[in-house]
Amino acid sequence: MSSLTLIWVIALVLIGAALAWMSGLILARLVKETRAADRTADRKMIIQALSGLLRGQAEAGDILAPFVRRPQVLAEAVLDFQGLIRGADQERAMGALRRLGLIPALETRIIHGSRDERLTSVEALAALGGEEVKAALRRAIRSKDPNVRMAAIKGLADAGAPPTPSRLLDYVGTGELTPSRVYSEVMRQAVAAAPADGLLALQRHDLSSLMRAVLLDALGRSGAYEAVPALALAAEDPAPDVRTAAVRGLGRLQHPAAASTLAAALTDEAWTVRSAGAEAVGAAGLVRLAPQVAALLDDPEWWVRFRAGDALGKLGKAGRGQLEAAAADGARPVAQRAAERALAEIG
Amino acid sequence: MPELETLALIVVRFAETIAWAVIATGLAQNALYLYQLVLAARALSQAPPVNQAALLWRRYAEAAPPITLMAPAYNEALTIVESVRSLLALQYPHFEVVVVNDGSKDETLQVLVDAFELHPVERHYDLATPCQRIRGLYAAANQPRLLVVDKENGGKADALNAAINLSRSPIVCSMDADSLLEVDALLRAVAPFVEDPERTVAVGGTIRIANGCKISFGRVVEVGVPRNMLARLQTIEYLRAFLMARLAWSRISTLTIISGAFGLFRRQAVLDVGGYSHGTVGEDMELVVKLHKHYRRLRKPYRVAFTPEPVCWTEAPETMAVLSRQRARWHRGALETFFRHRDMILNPRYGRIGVVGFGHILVVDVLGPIIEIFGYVLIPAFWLLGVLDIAYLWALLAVTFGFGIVISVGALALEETELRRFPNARSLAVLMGAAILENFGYRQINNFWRLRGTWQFLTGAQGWGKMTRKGFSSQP
Repeated sequence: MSSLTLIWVIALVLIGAALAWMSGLILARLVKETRAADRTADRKMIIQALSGLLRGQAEAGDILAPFVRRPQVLAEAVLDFQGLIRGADQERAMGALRRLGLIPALETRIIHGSRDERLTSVEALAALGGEEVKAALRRAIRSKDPNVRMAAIKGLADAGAPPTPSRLLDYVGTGELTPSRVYSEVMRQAVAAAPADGLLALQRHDLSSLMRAVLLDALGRSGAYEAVPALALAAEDPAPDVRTAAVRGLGRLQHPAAASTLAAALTDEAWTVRSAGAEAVGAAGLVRLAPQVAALLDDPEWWVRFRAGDALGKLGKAGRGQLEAAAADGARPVAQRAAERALAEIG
Repeated sequence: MPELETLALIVVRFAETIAWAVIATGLAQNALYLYQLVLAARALSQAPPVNQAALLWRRYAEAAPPITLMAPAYNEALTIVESVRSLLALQYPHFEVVVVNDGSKDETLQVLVDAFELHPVERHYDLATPCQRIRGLYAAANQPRLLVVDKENGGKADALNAAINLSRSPIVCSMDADSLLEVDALLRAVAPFVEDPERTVAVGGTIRIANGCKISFGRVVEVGVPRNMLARLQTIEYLRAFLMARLAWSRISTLTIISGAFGLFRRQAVLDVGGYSHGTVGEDMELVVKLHKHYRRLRKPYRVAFTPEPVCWTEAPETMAVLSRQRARWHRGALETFFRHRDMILNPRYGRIGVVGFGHILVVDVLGPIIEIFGYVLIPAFWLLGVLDIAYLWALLAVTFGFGIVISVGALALEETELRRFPNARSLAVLMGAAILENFGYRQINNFWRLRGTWQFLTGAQGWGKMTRKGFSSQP
């Protein structure tokens, strides 16, 4: 074959392949349009049957039963339907689905389904509720898909059975999970359920600064006052991110015993810590720290000035007095402007 | 006449060299596109888009960080109220809309004040990024998500800087006031910030052409194919640019542009690089390149992500005159950024961004149009002179077109396989026709427009040129 012929063959193969690809896509779309219509009709039928279940229609279970063999469409419909009902109605509908054998069917899809199916199945599984589901979710944590693992753990946390904080930390340590914002939410649920375990986990030596910050944030949101000493200790950590999380946590707990730690935070070298300190003083209503907070009104960092003004606004008369004094003090123009803006925002 | 023979030989050699350079460039570009197609297909298959908005809410709402939507407006009195209403109706747990009236000469500010019952307010803000003087802030108790900033005119970059200064959210979203956002756009685009909060600094979203779509109250309610041929060709072009090229480059951490029509940024990261740059028409690309440069220099791990799902719709020009101005301007913007950051070109210090990202701009944007136009002019000339073999010319041209069609169809196939937003098989067939057609004339004209952009860059031309839009109200 001459080089000219070869070039022409390549050109024709490319054009032919593109035309064949196009035709295939159009044909596939025609088939999918029919399937999509069927699927929409199926979902509608499932939701009507679930509504029927709630109204006590005996035939509703018979309508749903065949769909257990097609758990994906059932899972999608369950997720839609579950968002519409609450309380006893939800439990009745989900209980009926459990009795139809949906749990093992979904478990099969978690293992053998496509990526999308695996995730939808584990989310639908979590929606079903009940002890059997918790066991299934614990098995799903072993999935190779990190999204499925995270969804299973989130499902367990939402069902009031999160893994322990230490176990959650292990998942990140082994690379099974990444410290996403969803992970942080689950950590908050886990620590709120077992603050003592959270405190114990804080003593681990294998934690990175990031994971310590995540844990401290969860402890701060747990409402457990026994975390105050540990948070106060963490507020002296060499890592600014850890100190910031600890100070924020103390602000959320709003415990007067944290006053000396928060006072120290107001003069921290890291602006994120000073800003968190001002915010925490305002949240905890530590009126006696108002002068120290007012000193931050001419901090070099805008966020600190803003948080200081905001905090003073929350400290009642004492805070407002500091703001008014700063607003009148022409010798500190930066503080004056910050105080004026804070007073204007407070109204 | 040995001198004449030598001269003829030199001309033939020169012609051959030019021809091979053009062919090699064309093949290199096509190989690059094929590579992008493969990367994009892998990205889509490994992270398939979520079709149901309710599922997105379930997955991300609890963990979603607050976002400030920044909408710069200049002389938008006719459309601004509807645009803002549609922004306020977005589905996202925590967001605020900061509309910046960039010194409009019409009634933009007044119509906003009247429509939303706004009154002057005070807000503590820092001039962290440079912007023109802010004349006033307006808000209303019954619209707690809305803040209107009235400032002196300074251009889009300046208006965005003002909005960043006033934002108190960790994430800011840049957009055009006339962009149409999907109702779940923020939920979709925020996913990388939720999944990888430590590293993610920016997220781009897919922009689609709204021409031919049914639009109601600032939303695309029914996707359609444009009736105007120019807009139809741009539909294919946008699919190739967003669903293929940007998704592919984001997968290998070399994405150098996030469209100004929609992009999410970590506010602190934007402040760290000094905000949007003034004095360029490509401020969107410039910002992303600055972010890359900043984090590469600091050797800090970071991520510029891209979401393939359509999050924003824009009106495409339907006349050659307007389109040519837009393309020349885009090209000028790309060149401005490229040469402003020329120290990054093929510089291993900047890793893949220097080598692949800037290398790609060099081959495709800087040299590509020049060499291609060179080819269009010289190769027929050489053929007329009888120094090139016409049989080979036709064959190679056929290969180039074959590649072009495969790539355009590939981009359409990605859309059809993973997103399937076009309504039916007929619309697909129409777009496939456009995917073939665009190789015969449209691509070549585009190169001339880009060359004009190069000329404007070299001569230091300023301004945006007149950008006339039909407006969404006239859409079917």
